[in-house]
Amino acid sequence: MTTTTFPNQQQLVYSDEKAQVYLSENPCAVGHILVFPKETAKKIENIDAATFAHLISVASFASTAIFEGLGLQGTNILVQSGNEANNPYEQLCIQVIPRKFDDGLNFQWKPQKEEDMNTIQENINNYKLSFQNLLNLL
Amino acid sequence: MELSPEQKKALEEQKAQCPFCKIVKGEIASKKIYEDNLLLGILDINPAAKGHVLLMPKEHYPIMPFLPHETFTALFEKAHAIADAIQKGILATGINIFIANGAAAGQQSQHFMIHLIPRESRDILENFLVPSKSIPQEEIKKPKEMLVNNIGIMMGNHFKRHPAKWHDISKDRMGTIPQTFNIEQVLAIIEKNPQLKAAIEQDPHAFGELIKENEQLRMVFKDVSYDDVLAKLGISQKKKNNSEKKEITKNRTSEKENSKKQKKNKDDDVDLDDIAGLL
Repeated sequence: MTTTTFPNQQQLVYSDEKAQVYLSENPCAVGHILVFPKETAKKIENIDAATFAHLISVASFASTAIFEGLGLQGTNILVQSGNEANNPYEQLCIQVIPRKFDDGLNFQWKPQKEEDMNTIQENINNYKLSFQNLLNLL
Repeated sequence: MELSPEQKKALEEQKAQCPFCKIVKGEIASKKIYEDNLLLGILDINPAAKGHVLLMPKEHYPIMPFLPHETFTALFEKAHAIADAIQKGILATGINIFIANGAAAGQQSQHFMIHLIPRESRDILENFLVPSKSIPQEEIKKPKEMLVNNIGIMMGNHFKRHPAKWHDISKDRMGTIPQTFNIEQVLAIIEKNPQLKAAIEQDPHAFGELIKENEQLRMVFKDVSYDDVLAKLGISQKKKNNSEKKEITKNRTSEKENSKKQKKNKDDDVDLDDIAGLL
């Protein structure tokens, strides 16, 4: 997996204490936006839940801004945590992608064969329960 | 978001047909991963990968901008925890969270939801590779100014309504505006805001001091001379001197009045933030 250099400061369109927002230098469409946490964090688990919710709210406003400002028909918000999740950057990345019906983009997946859903559910719930207990202790 | 009576009626009809509303009510069976009073997380029956989870508000909202603030925050704070649980539970090292707003973006259900899809380095998914297209540089740069202004204003309003613990609204409301203004633009800002113009005319010297103290104002006046701006506005140096005297007398006044003045300065800042965003 190749990694891309971080966007140039010239591309910065918004920043606050926790988030920085850039216009993509290699966009898939005009108005393609990248949201990053300010702190160094490669994956979603490297930032706290409140920071993550803030990043998404910034992405959501950016999405509304391009939707209205560029006359779009839709937007995608794609969180990429880790290079294995097709993140080209060494930093947790939230892509805000402008969409129109004939834009030639397609993020739709082919459904996989259902595996043993009961086991998957159990495995996830085991970890979720321990996490929930941790939260309750705080 | 306010809905018209017609929209409300259409939404009610949509809800009655919605399979996910039926899953929420328990009329259709599902494999639950997470549930609280606001949210429901289930395993997708058509998964992109093993451990693909759908997390949705229990209430039927067609698109993300319809979500109330509390639901929005709860949804993504819980998504953060669930993303962690999914990765640990099925031994994945990465994860994608995917949101589609509108049919053009591939939204298939009218019940707003987010997809959490665990990823591994050698998995077969290729659909989340965001391509880059050859677009002329000037086209790419076009939306920049619009975004600088609009995201700043939107986040400013958002923080005013929902101040975060870590966020000092008065100090850093607009975030950073990576933009400089020439004298014509500064004059345009002043012309567009009569309140601001009045503040300068009333006490040019005090406003000059305010520029030095306030980061937002400093940004606006960074590349222009304040004296030039005063000259262009036709505010005389003499008047400026007068106000300097006034300033000295003001300095002797009681602390109470000083704090009043500070409060007024703060009000001026807020106005200016709005104006800076309008450019």
